[in-house]
Amino acid sequence: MKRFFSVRYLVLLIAGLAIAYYFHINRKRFADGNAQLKTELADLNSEWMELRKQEGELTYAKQELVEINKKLESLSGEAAQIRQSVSAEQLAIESLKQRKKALFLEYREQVRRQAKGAYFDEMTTPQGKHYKNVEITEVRPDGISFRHGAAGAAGARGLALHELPSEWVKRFMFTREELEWARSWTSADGTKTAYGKFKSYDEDTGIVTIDDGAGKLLFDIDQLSVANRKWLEKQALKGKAEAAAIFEELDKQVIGSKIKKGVLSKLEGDHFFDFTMSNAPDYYVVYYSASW
Amino acid sequence: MESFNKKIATNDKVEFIHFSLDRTSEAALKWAKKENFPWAHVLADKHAESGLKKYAKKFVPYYMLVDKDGKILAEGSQAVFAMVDDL
Repeated sequence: MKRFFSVRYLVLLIAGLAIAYYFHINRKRFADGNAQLKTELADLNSEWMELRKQEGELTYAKQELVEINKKLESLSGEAAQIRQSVSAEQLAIESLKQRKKALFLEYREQVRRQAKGAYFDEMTTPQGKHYKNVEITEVRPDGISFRHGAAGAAGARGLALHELPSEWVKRFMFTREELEWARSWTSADGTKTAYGKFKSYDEDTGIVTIDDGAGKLLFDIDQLSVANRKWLEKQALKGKAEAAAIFEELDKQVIGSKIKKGVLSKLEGDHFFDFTMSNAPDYYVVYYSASW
Repeated sequence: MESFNKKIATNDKVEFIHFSLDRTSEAALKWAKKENFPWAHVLADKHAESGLKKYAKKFVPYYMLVDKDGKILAEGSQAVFAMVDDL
């Protein structure tokens, strides 16, 4: 009996110790697990905080974006207003330019009308011709007519623009355009003179085209004075050099090389004439259309 | 015409070319005189040699902005004239 008690006691003791050990181990495991969970929870908390922070930043950025969009819309509206305003200013400037030109022409017309009867003791042309007791009778777009000389021996004379002294050109407000336009064209025998702007000279046919304001005049170069012929030959040489340089540039282009000569036409008066570009453009606007 | 005068006539970098799809030069001339067109034309008999026929569409009017190397930069009047502003 005593032995049995001892063995049973020993077994119980061992079982008690085993149970105690089991609980001890589990408690440690739970403690470790708990600590790990706490760490994970702390990590999750920091991640959560970070996400909240990011969410806050995103919300702020979104608000900023909305503000920027509003500003952009506002600026776009302002830009449209500025564009309109610039466009209106350009129209106003254009209108002022036209007004200025109209006033200039009006004033010049008045100056030229009042010039009739103006008296000058003497006058010398750029070509060296000297006139005394000069009285202007008419100022025209292509020159000036005047009387000169002493009473009883007076003569009448007309001067083309290129014969006018520079102070007269300035005084009667002849423009560069008029000076260019009013080149005189004199016949080979010197008996006839026409005024007009040089348009073209075709070396192959010898035809010279000028614009006298009322239309085109065509001359054979042989009908013109030596001075005119020399001028035309100079122009032809100058034109050839310029044309060669332009053609060289056009030859390098896909578009320009095909249309540089003999392809384009332009309306002048009542007819189409061959048109050659006076420069080598970088871009072409092509407009496909028809009258129908 | 207004766009041409404002944006192209004074711009040396750009040339305006009218590719006339009228079958005869007489018809093209009649129209050009009526409207007093200031630009250069490619008339029917010069279509092939102009090198511009290949860009034509099956409808008119058609505007095209092309660079000197033949690259199309814009199509349609609005896009073309808007781009011409920047040239």
